Amino acid sequence: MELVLQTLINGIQLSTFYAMVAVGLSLVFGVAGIANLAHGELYMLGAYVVWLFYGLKGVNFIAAVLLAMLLIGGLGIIIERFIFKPLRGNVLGVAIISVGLLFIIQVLVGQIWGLGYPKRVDAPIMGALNIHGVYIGWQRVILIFAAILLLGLLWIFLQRTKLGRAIRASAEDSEAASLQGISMNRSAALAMGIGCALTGAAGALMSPINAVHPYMGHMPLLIALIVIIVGGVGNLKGTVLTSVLFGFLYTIITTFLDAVIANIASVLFMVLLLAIKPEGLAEHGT
Amino acid sequence: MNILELKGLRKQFGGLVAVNDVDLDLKEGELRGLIGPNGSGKTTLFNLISGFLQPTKGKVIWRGKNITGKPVHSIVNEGIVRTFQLTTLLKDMTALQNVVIGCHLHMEMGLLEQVFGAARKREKEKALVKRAVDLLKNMGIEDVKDELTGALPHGYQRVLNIVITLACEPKLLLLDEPTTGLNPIETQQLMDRIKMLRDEKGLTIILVEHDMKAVMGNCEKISVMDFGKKIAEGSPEEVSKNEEVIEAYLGR
Amino acid sequence: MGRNRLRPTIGLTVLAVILIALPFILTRYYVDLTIVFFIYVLLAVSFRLITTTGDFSLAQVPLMGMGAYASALMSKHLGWSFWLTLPLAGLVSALVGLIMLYPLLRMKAFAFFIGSYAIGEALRLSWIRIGIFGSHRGISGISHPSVSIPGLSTISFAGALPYYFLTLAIVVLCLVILYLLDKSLITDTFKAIHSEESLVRSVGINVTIYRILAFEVATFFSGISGVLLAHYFGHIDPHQFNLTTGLYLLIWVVVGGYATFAGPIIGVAFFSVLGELMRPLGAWVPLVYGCILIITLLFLPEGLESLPGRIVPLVKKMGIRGRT
Repeated sequence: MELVLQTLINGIQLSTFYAMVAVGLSLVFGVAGIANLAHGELYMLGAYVVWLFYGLKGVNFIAAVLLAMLLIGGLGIIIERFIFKPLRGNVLGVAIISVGLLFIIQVLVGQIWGLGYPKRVDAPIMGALNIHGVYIGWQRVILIFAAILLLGLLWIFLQRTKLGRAIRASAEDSEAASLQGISMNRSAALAMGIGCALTGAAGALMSPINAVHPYMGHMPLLIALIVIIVGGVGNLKGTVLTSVLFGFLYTIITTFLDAVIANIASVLFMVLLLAIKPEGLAEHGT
Repeated sequence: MNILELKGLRKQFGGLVAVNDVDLDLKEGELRGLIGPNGSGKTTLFNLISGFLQPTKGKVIWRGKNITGKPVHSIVNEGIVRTFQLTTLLKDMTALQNVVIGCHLHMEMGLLEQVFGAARKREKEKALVKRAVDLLKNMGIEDVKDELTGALPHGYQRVLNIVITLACEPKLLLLDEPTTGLNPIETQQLMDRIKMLRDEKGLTIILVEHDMKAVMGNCEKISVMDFGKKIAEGSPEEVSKNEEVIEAYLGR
Repeated sequence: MGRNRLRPTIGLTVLAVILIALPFILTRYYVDLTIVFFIYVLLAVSFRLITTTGDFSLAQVPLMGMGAYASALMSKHLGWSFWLTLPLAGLVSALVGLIMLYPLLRMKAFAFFIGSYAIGEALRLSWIRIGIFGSHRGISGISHPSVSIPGLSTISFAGALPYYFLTLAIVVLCLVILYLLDKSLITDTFKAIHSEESLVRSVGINVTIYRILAFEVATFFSGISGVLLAHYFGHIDPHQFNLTTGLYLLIWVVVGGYATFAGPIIGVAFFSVLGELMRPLGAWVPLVYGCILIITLLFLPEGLESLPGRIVPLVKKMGIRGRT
């Protein structure tokens, strides 16, 4: 019984974390046709921001998380403007150029802050919530609630605000969107800003939970790709739902088998999906 | 004898029915016009016949054989070739090179031969090129054979598309708006050449067109589509007097 | 011999002389490097073959590994000679590649890119998980090839010098085949599939068969390159064939250029030299590669091979001495 509950909680936590990363990528891919394979590195940078400011300098945790969102979001906008924009329309081209980014960010972080032991970030609130004898660290609770909050805010933004609706229009048809008063340039910048901020937030919130190291972004990227194939690019609800499904599946396999098998299962699952639904990663706008 | 029969052909995309239970019989040697407002399903119908799309329901019977759902290359082998609304040409290659690719089908050279058989290859390639040049001559555009297709005027590109289809030795040609971008004189010239093809080579042709004069003046029989359904069929006179047809065009 | 054929023939002869003399001039370290260079040239040229149909495959490095593992296992556990395991391992790679194609063929461009990564990674993870492949440690003690000439002695290719010539001979042979393929109508069809697939379909060409052909030929040669690697260093492990290597391959070919046969060779050469020069930089190397990739894609998208084409008109414009 305890195992089940523990697995359930692990599953929820993993799901919310996947959801944040995947939604960020989905937004960017859906709106601007950007397949940013350095997306995982941005997640990692979010964690490093918190480690630097909260872990080392003692800045308030929430402030550090917000700072991470701001910085990573800003970085996303700069990357879009100078590196992705020239290749706009060429999904594979953007993917390939983002590989260059991936290497750059990863090496920079590793060289500046070291490749040694992973960094530890202390949880802002120690102790754990006790449900029926199973303990969930408060940090994980924070993560779950923060994720729900942020995703909820995003949903409101996209559904209820004029700007949000305009961005969604860009995902459908950039011509129609420009008639509504938003250019592809602005949509892409905005989508990257928000999507990367969300990913940075995921990394920031996860930093006390998982070890912080330069390679921590790889798994999230992989999972995010799988999730958006199934959930539908640009389809937020689908992405969240799939994140939940996947979070649980992965947790169950890892708990009852092992991580390597979980990884193999993930990649094979991805292959299967792409074979059944190749339009899952189809070119934007087609 | 009907060379082509479409029975209850239907194509649905989720909730959208692009082709709605269309029946159509085509006799050998016909030059059939297919008209209808934008979005009436004409190109989708072509896609279904030629294998670019699989029907949701219904059958395509070609010379008595059920070819429904076969892959495009098989259907081309059967003798059905189509052109596209938007010109699809290899823009970085010359007109001649484009036609040579079309002749590929009848090249009869094994894979290994193509890589290793230098002498035989040169011979066959020469034959291919000659055939391509002849095809270009037939349609009167061999003067541009060494031009890059991307640089050719629109009218030439459309004709080139037809030449490429002829390279496949078709028995049924599906021409999708071949006169787009041509002025009235060029249009009639093209229509004359199309009729000549039909007469000289015994081709059967279905012609999708927006240009009413081209269709009415040259096709013996016309089928009309609207919202995926076939709403009328008959001679140009019959069709132009048909009320549903008039409404379909005016009510837009 | 026509004037057109004279220049390249002289060029090739000079190149041949250089390549033959090289191992006698260079130190052992650089001979090793050149052997690896030859192997990666073969890999890169076969990778590029797939790009002619428009697909970038991240499965080629794992498939190279499959060839390596296949040959290693056949020679270690079955005692078969290198001369048998070389082509067989290539075929094993091709077979595994064929299985991969089953899902992969349904994908194109970006989806194919990600899908090929996923399925290649699944293959690599299976080496870790299935005992016979030696898990993380891989396989060691892979024998060097040798040839027994009846009546005479046995020639062993254990040393750097003989293995250099062995690799050179095999790679040259493979490249000749790939070159002939590149010059044939088949590759024209590959390229046509990439640029206007609808047109190619509409003239009755079976696009699927052509995509399979490109992938399978490339995979066979990727497997061969893996075998050459395995029998030289005597040891292989899953980490040699991971994503980073696959991404490096991508970078070599993209930066070198993939419009012509020479592009990937230029790319591998460029990065081989660069890699050596940057050795003291150690961990910073991937960052430099990343920067080069980005700069190339933004400012020289057709790759290094397009440089001569760009420089010559510039030189002419400047009125520098030369024939007009």
